[in-house]
Amino acid sequence: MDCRQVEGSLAAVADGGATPEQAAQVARHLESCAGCRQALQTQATARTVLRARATQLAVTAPPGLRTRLAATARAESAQADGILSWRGRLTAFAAAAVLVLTLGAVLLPVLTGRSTVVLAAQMALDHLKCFVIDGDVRGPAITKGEAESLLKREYGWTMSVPDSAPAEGLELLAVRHCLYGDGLAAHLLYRANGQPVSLFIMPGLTRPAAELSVLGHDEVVWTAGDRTYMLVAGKGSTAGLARVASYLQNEAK
Amino acid sequence: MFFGRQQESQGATDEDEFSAAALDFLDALYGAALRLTRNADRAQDLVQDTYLKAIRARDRFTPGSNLKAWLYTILHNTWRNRQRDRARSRVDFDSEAVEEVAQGSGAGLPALAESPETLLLRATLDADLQAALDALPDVFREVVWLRDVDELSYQEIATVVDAPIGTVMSRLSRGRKQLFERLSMQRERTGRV
Repeated sequence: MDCRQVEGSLAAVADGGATPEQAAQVARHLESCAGCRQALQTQATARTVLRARATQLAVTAPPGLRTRLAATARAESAQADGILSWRGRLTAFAAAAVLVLTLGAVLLPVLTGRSTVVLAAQMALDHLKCFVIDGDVRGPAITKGEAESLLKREYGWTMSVPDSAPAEGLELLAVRHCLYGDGLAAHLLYRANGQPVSLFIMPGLTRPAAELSVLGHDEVVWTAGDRTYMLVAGKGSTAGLARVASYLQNEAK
Repeated sequence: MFFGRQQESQGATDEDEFSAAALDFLDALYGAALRLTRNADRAQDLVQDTYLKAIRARDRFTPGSNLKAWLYTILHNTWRNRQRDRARSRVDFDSEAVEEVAQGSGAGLPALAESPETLLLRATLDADLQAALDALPDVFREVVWLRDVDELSYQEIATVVDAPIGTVMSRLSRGRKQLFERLSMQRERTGRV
């Protein structure tokens, strides 16, 4: 075995990745070749330095990324499960809810074809899904900037996301894909005075302003620009819902 | 009516377990993405894309094999495809010519006396090591990292970077050599012993 042949095996010999045959051949060559001995030493030294500093070299992913990936996994899982298994998970809720959900599945492809009430019912269920069934509003809250860059990346939207507002008792928590809009709607999750509140944003949709009570939820609907917004909270859970809506209407652009 | 938001969903599925297991490697994936993209935003984007693809392709993962290596493979494939989409040349990744040029960039370094690794180790600060790694050509740095920091097998690395094992060994050997030479030069320059 000459130096050139040995060179190809040195890296593996230095880190224990060589076969016994390779190692034996290289060892025989090294007995009579100082140059390759030094080359092996170089390989081993570089590896030793890296192994010793592996922990310090490792980077930590931004916390927002972890949150986002966990949400991605849940959205994928929910889509894969399909609507049917949803019925199983929703047994705790009113039969009417399941009925609307099934109806929603039939109408799903045509977001714009749905009446405001049906849409509102679906958003109420998505609100329940995210806050109650999945219980997934954990981990660090997202910042306004993170939410905006997420919407930019995921939807191509440039918009101002209403930030947490202590004066309004409002806290921005997370952004989710909304299952019911075929992913076309974005779901901003807030807490208002300690209670869960959802703001759904649907692009390319114009609905008249309305206040509804659907499936045990209070909802406020408005349109700004080419987007329709739906604010959803459990019925009576947030006394100041109108005030929250007013704040969001001013801030969401 | 308000239900506690901490309420757990019922019964973790295999999918949930897979998603969670993949998330255990988030830091490693993000690090790999940073090395490839050299940009925090693009790195996050690449990781997110990788993760989504992994979840969708989870049926193709062989249980018991190295999940980290599998995720790395998806990440590298995704990155290569993006590079291609941007009409950049794939030559960056697998041309022997580029490697020869890269090799040449270290060829002008002075020959070094044999140096005990303990000396080098003590003298090498984390920042120096990071800088020396950053200075390596991409194709070298990646295999060095995958082998010596992440401890993947040669076969796994070959799959990740989509190159024959012989090429992996060659890149690894040259990468380590350049790293060693840069660290030794830093040591001599700064006089740290």
